[in-house]
Order: sequence, then C-alpha cells, then structure tokens
Amino acid sequence: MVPYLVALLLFGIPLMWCEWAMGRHGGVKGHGTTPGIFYHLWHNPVAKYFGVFGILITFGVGVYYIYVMSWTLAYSFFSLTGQYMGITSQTEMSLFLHSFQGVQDSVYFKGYGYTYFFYLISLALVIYVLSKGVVKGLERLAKYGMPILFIFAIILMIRVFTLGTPDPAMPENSINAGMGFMWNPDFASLKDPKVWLAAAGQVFFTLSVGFGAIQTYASYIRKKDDVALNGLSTAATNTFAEVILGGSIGIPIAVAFFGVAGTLAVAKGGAFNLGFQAMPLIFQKMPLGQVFGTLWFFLLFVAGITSAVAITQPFMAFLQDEFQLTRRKATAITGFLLFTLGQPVIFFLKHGFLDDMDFWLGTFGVTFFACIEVIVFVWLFGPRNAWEELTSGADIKVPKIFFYILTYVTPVLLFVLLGTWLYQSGLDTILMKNVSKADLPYVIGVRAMLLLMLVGMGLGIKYSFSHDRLLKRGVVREVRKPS
Amino acid sequence: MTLAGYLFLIGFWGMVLGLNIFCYVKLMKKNGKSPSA
Repeated sequence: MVPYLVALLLFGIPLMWCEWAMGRHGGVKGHGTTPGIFYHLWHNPVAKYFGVFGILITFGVGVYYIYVMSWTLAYSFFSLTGQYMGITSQTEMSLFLHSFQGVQDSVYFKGYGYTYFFYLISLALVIYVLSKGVVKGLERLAKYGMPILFIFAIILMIRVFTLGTPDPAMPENSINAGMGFMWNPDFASLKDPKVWLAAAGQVFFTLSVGFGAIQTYASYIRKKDDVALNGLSTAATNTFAEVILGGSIGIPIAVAFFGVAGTLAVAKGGAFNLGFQAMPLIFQKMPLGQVFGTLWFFLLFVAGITSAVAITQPFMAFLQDEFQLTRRKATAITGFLLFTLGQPVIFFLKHGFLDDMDFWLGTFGVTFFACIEVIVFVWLFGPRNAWEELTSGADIKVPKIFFYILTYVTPVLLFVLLGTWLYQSGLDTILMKNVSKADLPYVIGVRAMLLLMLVGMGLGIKYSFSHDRLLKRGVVREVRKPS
Repeated sequence: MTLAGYLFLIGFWGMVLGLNIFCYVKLMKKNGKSPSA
C-alpha cells in the first residue's frame, strides 16, 4: 500500500486533473477523444497518432471488462439459487469458478454454456445502452443503486471485521492477518519495479486515469465549468469505494479463509478471480446471506454496466466525432468488434489470454499512456498553459505545489518507473520468457490482436484527419451531438 | 497486523475520508445547499 499511496498522490490525482482539463479543452474544439484533443494541444502532424492509445486502451479493456462484468450477473444468479452454498474451501471455490468459466469441467458446470449465456446478456445490455443513448436511465438506476451498494459494503465490512478466525485450528488465517497483509508496510518490496508498476496500474484502474475515458466525459462540460473540484471529488470517492470499502472486504476474507499463500495463489490464477472466490464465503456466514449475495452481485453488475459504457464511449465518440457516423452505425461497429474480439477472451481464458491482455492494457498500457498524455498536456501544450487550463473556472484553489508535481515529478517518475521495469523485467515479459509452451501461441495471439487493433485505429485516425482537412476547407460540415 | 500497519491504515483512511468530506462540503456550497441539509 506504500507504493499505492505514493502513486495516488504523485500520479493519480495530478493525472485526474490533467484528463479533466484536456477533455474540457478538446470538447470546446469539437473533439471528445484523445487523437483530436492531442491534435489541438500540440500542433504537430504526429500528435493525433499518440492519441490512438486513448482509444485502444479504453476499447481493449472494454472487450474483456464486459466478460468479467458478466460474472457478477452470473454470481447474482448463483446466490439466488444457492448454487455455491456449502462450499467453504479454496479448492472447491476455485473449482466452482473455473468450471463456470469453462476452464475445466466439474460437478458444478460443464462446458462454456453458462459463462457464454451470461456474457451474451451483458454484451447485449451494453450495446442496448450505447444504441439507445439511455445513459440517463442508467444514471438514474445508478443514483439509487450506488448508495445501496455503499450501504451494503459498510454492512459487509462490519461483518468482515467481526469474523475473527473462521477456523480455530488455523489461527494464522484471520481477518487481522488479512488486514496486516494489506496494510503492514513491506519496505523490502519497494525495491521491486514490478510492485510499483502494479501499484501505479491499480491506482490508474481505480481512478480510471490513463485510459482516455475521462477526457470523453469531460469533453461535454462547458469552457467555464470547474474541473479541479470535479477531478478531486472523483478521485476521493473512487478511492474510498475501492480501497477503504473494497480493500476491507475481499482480501481480508480471502486471507481469513485461504491464508496468505492461498490468496496469492488465487490472485496468480487470474487477475479478477479473487472477489468471486472470496465474496461467496462471507455471504455464507451472514443471516440472509443469499439475499445479500444476490443483491450485492447484481448491484456490482449495474455499476459494471455504467463503467462498460464509460470505457466504450470513447470509441463511439471517435466514430461519431471524427467519421461523422450516426449513433446507430457507430453502435453497430462497436458491438460487432466487442463481440468478435471478446471470443478469444472467453475461449482462451485458461491459456492466460485475458490476463496478458489485462497486463498490456490495464497495467503497462495505462502507465505508458499516462506518460504520453502528461508530456503532451504539460510539456508540449506548455506548463503555464496547462496550469491555466486546469485552474480556469476552478471551484477550489489547487495548491501551487501541484504545478511542480505535474511539470516535473509526475512525468519524471513515470519515465523512471517504465524505464526501470523495462530494464529489470520488461524484456523477459516482452520476450515471453516466463510463458509455458502450451500458452505461448495464445500469448502471441494477444499481442497480434492488440497490434492489429493499434494499426487499424491508427489508419482510422489517418483517414479521419484527412477528412478533417476537408472539414477545414468547408467541403463538409461537422456535426457533433453529445450523447 | 503490526503497529506500523495500524498507523498506516489510520493515516490513509483519514486522508481519504478528509478529502471526501472536503469535496462534499465544497460541492454542497457550490450547489447552494448547506452541507448539513
């Protein structure tokens, strides 16, 4: 958590402000995605191509996020039907999850039927929301659903803290040990760049910075609207929800039931598996646990849809803004690509397809893109211009120290972080030295797919900005509708 | 959990809760409402 705190203060909050300010700046110029925003911030022909990562990362994460989100819907159903009731060991809980995912057959599930069914429902819902522009309806649902989720989380947190040691025969597996695992400072691990990269990636994921999604949302606000207080509030609320509430539930439960080694094994087995193996355990230790479990996972699913819409929105906005496509056409293309690219994520899960994709987009990608955007916004747009953009219309006084943090500390640390990681373990990761022979073709497949997406989007930018030149000459008129 | 762990937890939670309260008060004031309302 020490690297997490440092990353939050030196990367998370400053980048959140950068993205809000960049989004507002781009929105005023008629661009809601990073290629267009960079184009206006840095008047250089290559600027727009650097913005490709802001679309690739959001869209790529959206491809697998929808699948992970579908697990929450499935677990809501499993809670309702009591399918995991009675399972208390890590081995059995892991078997339950893996067989649901189609990784292996078991007495619980066989094949891909269940997982695919819930995936299709989730994907259809996301496409429906995108196509109808029913974000307002969803926001209304979230307006009531999210406070309920918060209340549930507080109740769960209290239950977790009163759980003590579930198995008296194993006193080392306790909630206290779980909290210690989370919060005891481990100074030895501070020397490992992978830990810092993971912490930065986690901060970026928690705050949704480094993706390119916040710019799209901020592009819809007016020139004189505040970005400083909005950005800080977003960072504060997300950290409260995901670190204070989330961190006091999932990991302590996992350690209390599985032990530290077991928890690490679960996390190693899949980046998103921990919550699905740990949460069902606490519901079994609560009165009305089935009801709680059903509602908890369902509310997570509702929250997941809003996030899935948020991260697919930049790609939609890119198609609508830069190609002048109608919402209907943009949705058709987005839906088709989400479905097509989602197939290997589902069927090659056991070969690490999702995890490798998540590493390149959700850990390395967001850090890399954060590095690019801070350079473009602060250095190429100009430190004074960037500060002026951030503080203009601000409802709070942003401490001047953040000018120096944004200008020097954040970019330098991001470079050092990426450079050290590349030097110490990056080459092994790039060269797939730790990948088993059986998984090698699939990991190569991930990289080929990401490369194809990158090239495809780059060509899209090339085409759309030549079209932009036509716009400038007045050959066609630009129409931009906020969703 | 060690003493350092407890201290770190208290510091982190305090910072995050403090930030949330600060933002809440500012947003309420901006919207012309009393934070206690």
